[in-house]
Amino acid sequence: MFEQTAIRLLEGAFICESTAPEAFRWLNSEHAQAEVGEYLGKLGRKLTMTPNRLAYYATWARVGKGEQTEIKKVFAHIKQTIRPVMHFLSLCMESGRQDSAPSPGDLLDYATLLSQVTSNQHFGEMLRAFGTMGKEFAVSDASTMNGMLNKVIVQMERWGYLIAVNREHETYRFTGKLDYYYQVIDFLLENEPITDSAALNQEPEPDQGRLL
Amino acid sequence: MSDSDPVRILLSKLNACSDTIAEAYYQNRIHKTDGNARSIEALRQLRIMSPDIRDAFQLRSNLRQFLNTTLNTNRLFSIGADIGGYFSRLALLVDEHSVAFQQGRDDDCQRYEDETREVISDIADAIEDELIVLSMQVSTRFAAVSTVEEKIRQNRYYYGRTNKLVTLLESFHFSDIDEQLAGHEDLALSFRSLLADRIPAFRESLLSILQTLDQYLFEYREIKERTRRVRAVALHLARNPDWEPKAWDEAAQPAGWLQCASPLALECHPQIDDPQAEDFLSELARTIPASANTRTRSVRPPGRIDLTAGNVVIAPPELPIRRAVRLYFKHARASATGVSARRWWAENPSVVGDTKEHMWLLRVLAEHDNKGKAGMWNLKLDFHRHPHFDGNILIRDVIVSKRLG
Repeated sequence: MFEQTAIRLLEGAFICESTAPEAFRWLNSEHAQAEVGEYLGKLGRKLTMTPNRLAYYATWARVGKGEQTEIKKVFAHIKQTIRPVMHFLSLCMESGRQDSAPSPGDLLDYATLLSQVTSNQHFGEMLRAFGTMGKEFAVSDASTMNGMLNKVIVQMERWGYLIAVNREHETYRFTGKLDYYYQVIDFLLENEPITDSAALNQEPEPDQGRLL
Repeated sequence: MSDSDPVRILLSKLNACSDTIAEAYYQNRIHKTDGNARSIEALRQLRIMSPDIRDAFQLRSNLRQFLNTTLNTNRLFSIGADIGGYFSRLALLVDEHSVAFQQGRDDDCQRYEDETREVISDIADAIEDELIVLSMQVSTRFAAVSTVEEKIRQNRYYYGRTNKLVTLLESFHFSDIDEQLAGHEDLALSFRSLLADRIPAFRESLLSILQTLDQYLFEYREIKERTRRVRAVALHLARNPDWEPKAWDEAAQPAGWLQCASPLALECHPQIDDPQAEDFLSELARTIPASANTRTRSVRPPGRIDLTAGNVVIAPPELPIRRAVRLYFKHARASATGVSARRWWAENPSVVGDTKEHMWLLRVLAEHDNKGKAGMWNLKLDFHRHPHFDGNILIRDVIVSKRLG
């Protein structure tokens, strides 16, 4: 298990219950974490968990001048993907009439989503808006919802936020990388002047009571 | 209404066990006998009867209450009461029983004993049912409702309900009911085996459910908070199409999420001079086609004719049964007097392997049907006619011999 886990981490993968269940469960043990951490340490990396411990990934052990270029690349990727991913999450929430943001491990049914964007004009418009978010979403025939949705799903899969559970039935699952994305969102909310947050003040939080 | 209507099916099953139900209702318990064993088992499967002490069985509270209501007897005292009510009633009955016993009122004593036993089983049944409901709700994460808001509400409700039950069991644990029942062997045994001994297990299960509900509540609040944050950012992005995050990559100490290590492109090559890997690599090499999607064409030199051997045909190993049949017919074909198939089977266990005798006989007959005309043998059946089915024969043996002429 060590070998495949270490290789996946070095290749930049996020290891979670959806993408590599066995490796994820193995990494949950302290012994495995120490073993992998020691190995990664020799290569200038360390094992890191997402805030809710839903995925493992490799980060730099030390950040020096040599790593600055790589950090810029990561940031450029985040800048490029933050808007389409957020738009996709909004589409999933609105079309599914859910009052909660997707969580790692949640299932996504392609056929259901397609029928919703096809039957509802608003969701159709939301899907078309992906076309303005980058050339990776461009489709030759913009009139077909199927082609557009397929492009979006493929892109989310490529960025590591979705994984196909059953290709035949076109069922997907949100991965643990979504926890990383939410970490980025939390950081931006805390550090950027995002003032249009009417939703943040919608209702007062009830008393936590004895729970906390 | 069809025959598969579940209500009808249930009622017909109850009807079939009506004597047992009536006896258990009037006597408060029923002992298992050869005559009612099937009915008791059927009723237990339907969750209508539960075990009592000393190999006896009793009706579960739900059916007993239904019968009490329907028949409007004087047992109609606790309809709709909750578990707390049952506990209060138990304490009251035990007190009343004690007074009646001291005053020598035997009839009342008997009545209180029956009612006490009934309440004890009611409590055990009710807690068990409550545990089933709670476990189901918890394991499905309140699947009946879809929104987080509603799940939180349900979570709170079941948390309160479970907590109340735990408190009730804890306070009951310190009551002196067991001491009061100490003088009445049957009642004390009922109380101990049906309730007191099970209370720690009930309590553990309830505490475990409470813990899970606590965890769920925490998770639901997290999900709710996260959703609010996601909505806030989505709204911000929608209202500010040109918005971009600040240059966080230029910070002296970049945030943790920026420190993702760049992926390494890993490529491995086998060490071909390692003798240990030779077998594996040669095996692998054999499976790789000489050239993908191309057809090699060999040109015959002029004036020569190629005499290639062609592909080597690898014959699959012969099946043991086929081999046994072949050997039997080979042996029998050479015999003028004939060889009995059954005897040959008995004499050659190593050849026929684990083939059963009747299967062997059928296989010999099948071989004759398939190759009998071309085969150089004669087949004779040892049979007698079936006593009941005209035209059918019962084959005892098959004798194969050399074909004459």
